[in-house]
Amino acid sequence: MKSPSVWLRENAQYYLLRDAQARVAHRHGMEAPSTSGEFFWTGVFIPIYRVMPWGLRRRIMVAMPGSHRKNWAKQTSPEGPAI
Amino acid sequence: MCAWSTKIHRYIFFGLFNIVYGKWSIVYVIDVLIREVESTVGQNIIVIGGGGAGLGAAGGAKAVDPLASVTVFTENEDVAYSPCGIPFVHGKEIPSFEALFLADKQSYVDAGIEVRYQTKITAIDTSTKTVQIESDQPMRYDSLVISTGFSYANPGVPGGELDGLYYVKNIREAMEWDKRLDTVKKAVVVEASPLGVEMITALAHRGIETHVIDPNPWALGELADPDIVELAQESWAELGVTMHWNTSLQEFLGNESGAVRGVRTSNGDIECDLVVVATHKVPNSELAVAAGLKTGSTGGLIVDGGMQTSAAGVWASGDICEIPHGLGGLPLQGLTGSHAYAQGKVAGANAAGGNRTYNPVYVPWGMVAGKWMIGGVALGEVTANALGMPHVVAVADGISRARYYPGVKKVRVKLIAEPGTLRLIGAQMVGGEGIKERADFLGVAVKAGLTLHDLATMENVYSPPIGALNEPIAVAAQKGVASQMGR
Repeated sequence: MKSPSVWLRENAQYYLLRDAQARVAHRHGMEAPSTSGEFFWTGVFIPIYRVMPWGLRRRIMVAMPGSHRKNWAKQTSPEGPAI
Repeated sequence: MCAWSTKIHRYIFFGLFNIVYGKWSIVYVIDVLIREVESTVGQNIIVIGGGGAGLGAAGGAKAVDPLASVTVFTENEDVAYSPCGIPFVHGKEIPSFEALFLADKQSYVDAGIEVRYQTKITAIDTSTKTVQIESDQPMRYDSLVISTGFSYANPGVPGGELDGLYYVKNIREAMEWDKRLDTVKKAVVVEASPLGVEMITALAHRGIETHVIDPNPWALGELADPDIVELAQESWAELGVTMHWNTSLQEFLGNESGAVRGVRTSNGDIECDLVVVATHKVPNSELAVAAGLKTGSTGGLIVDGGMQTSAAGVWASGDICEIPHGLGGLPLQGLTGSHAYAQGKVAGANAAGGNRTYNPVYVPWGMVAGKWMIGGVALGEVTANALGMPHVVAVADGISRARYYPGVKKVRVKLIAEPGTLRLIGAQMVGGEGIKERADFLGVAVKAGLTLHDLATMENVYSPPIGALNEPIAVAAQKGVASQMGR
């Protein structure tokens, strides 16, 4: 049985991707794929996700369990001249 | 035995002996003897998995602690070959499978790495630090690296047991399939994933009537943008490939002898002699999960920057684990062979007592699709839209060499940037050559936080046989900057 976080990510990723493909296809004058599916995802999740500010979306994604919440090296910038 | 505890015991013994007797010569002799004993009872490191990640781990461990006992368990007959090269042998670009072997079995013996072929680990007990070997006694470890790789996602449709469904992975099986391909007239590739793209091209090169079915509206739909794969799809059509986009697999159809005779899709049936199943990669994590190791939202093992898992003394590398993306941190699973090998080196080194780190990834990618090369890094237009990440797009069509030089090829570059700052957050490209090098460069550019302003004024190599006067990356960036400034 899938964990809640796997279930959430799989479904969110699938429906957000289909929605994005339809938008990009439309922009490029291509036939858009069907975005039909379960009502919760197409009628509730996608519209709410789309109106949320990016900062809030990012905070929600970061709150999910995963490797990103462990200790990883930070990007460092060199100081001073190279030579 | 832990190497550090052995060393500490030695130094205590050395000190006490010196205080009591003050006889350096005796102490020296004893110390030498202890070193000899230590060399035979060094720490025991077990690696599960003989792919790039597992062998990287074994090599990484040996590099840090040459005295360590390193044992690799693999269920396969071979290690040290490049599974990524299999489609190109099928496509006849590479003459034989032997070319895919990177090292022979003796080279691992010579390196002091014991590889146990066709041996399955059935359980891990992190409390007693043992692994259970199938039909054998449990084996104790001081450090464990899990590199059990991936499987193709189960299509989850009837007919999965039929003969004639090809999952491209194992080289021995690929050798057998290659003989069979000589008799195949018509094949279906299920999903134009990265492997699917290579297999479509390979089968078409081989003269097999090839169909591709994919629920996405274009090839590499989860990764690439439509204007990038457009040229590749046109070249597949020229090779006789029939593409069925927005089409889902519903069933594998079989004949009375149990062999596949076709596929049922959401848009009708397609007859065929062979089906290549190229669904997305899922982590082989059952063993690790059963041992209580934690997984993330991708289903991959949670690791830190040292590739250590949630269990003490256990590291992981490759497709079994998830790695945060350098932009935003969303974890990813199922990266490339070069990622797996590099992760293995870090995991193995740390398992042996080292202190190495692996960094979040930006995932430069590239491949041959039809007669084109396609590639990119980080986000594309589709993935930025899916995440809902604000972005601007800048595109330019250029050329790979001087316009008058024979063999000049078209190159299209699309840059994705953050609005306002114009910081680069991704790129996608298609062209006849030079795509891999641009993807690698742009990977560094995203990581370093370069902007379209930086790229617009970049210097570039100009030499008629290898580079045009104007670099397409710079031209795309100049267009992006001009667009932002309303010009």
